[in-house]
Amino acid sequence: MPNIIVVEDSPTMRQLITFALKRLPDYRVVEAVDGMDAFKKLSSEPFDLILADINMPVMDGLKLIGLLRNDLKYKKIPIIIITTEGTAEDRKKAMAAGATAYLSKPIQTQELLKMVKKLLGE
Amino acid sequence: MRRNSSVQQILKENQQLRDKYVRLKKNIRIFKEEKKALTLKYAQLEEENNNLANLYVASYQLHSTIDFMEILRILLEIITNLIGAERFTIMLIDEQSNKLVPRASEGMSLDTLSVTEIGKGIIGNVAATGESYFTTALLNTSSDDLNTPIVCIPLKIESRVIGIIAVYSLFSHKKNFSNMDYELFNLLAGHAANAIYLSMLYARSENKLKTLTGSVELFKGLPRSVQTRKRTD
Repeated sequence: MPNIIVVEDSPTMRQLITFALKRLPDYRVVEAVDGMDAFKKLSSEPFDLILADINMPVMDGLKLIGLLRNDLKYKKIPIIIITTEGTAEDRKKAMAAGATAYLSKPIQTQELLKMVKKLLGE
Repeated sequence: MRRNSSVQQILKENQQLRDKYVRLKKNIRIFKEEKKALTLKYAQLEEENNNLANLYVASYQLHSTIDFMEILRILLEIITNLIGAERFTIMLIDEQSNKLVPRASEGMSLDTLSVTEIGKGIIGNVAATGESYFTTALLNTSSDDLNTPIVCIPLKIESRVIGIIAVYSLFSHKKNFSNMDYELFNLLAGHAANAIYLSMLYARSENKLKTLTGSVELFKGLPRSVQTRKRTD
């Protein structure tokens, strides 16, 4: 069963993404409210995929990616960045930090599910 | 003679096969068209399903609290994340002045927005008629004129308008509003209006309760002789 962590400070957005992912059978979804919360959860159990926002309090998405990509344990986990920052520059910044893929808000559920399945090798 | 008859038989069979082939070809074409229509229908249903799921989550969030400011915060979040609006404001009708007062905004300062009279301009007109306003050419548009939003939706409880949502620009990657966006926005506005109205009623009743409790406490604190005199008065 694929284990996915959704890192998002907005409760509405977090619930929207989780709700969309839970429509796929056999997916376990864990929520984190910021980068720091996600990092703690990642060190306590293994995850197959990370979906993260960029702008978050305590620890933002880019810092979280930086931390994970510098640690051998998390280096290979695919990371999808989901954010309102939709310019090419923002995309470049996220990809340079180590994100695997990028989605702009408002997200299209089909597009999100397609990307998740692809990154999980389904 | 026998040879002639067998040739004829072969020709007949050949024609039958040709007819069968034509029929099969026709059936395949019909099947392909049906498959195409079904795929399209499936994609539409999938999109509707996703939008309903989004609407469910959004309305669940809107009705998860009775705190007025929290509801406004949730609504700002929903409009940003679900609709893809970059600059927008929420204005509510002030019952005393009967004017639209800006109560929350995103991507723009509340101070830059002014009180609007009902019936005046695009925004005032939406509040007066209860009809949504959308510019005809939304593609990549944004408006710097605060009196001319690109989208203006009334916050309605049945036919009573309690406020409006005015959008001035969408995110650069959000190219246009689809029909689903319009529907979703209107449905969201309905839920938002209910949640806002209920929170306002609750705040009002809380204030009344506080005043009443205060009066009772004050009355209890009075000397007995005054209480009795008051009662007999």
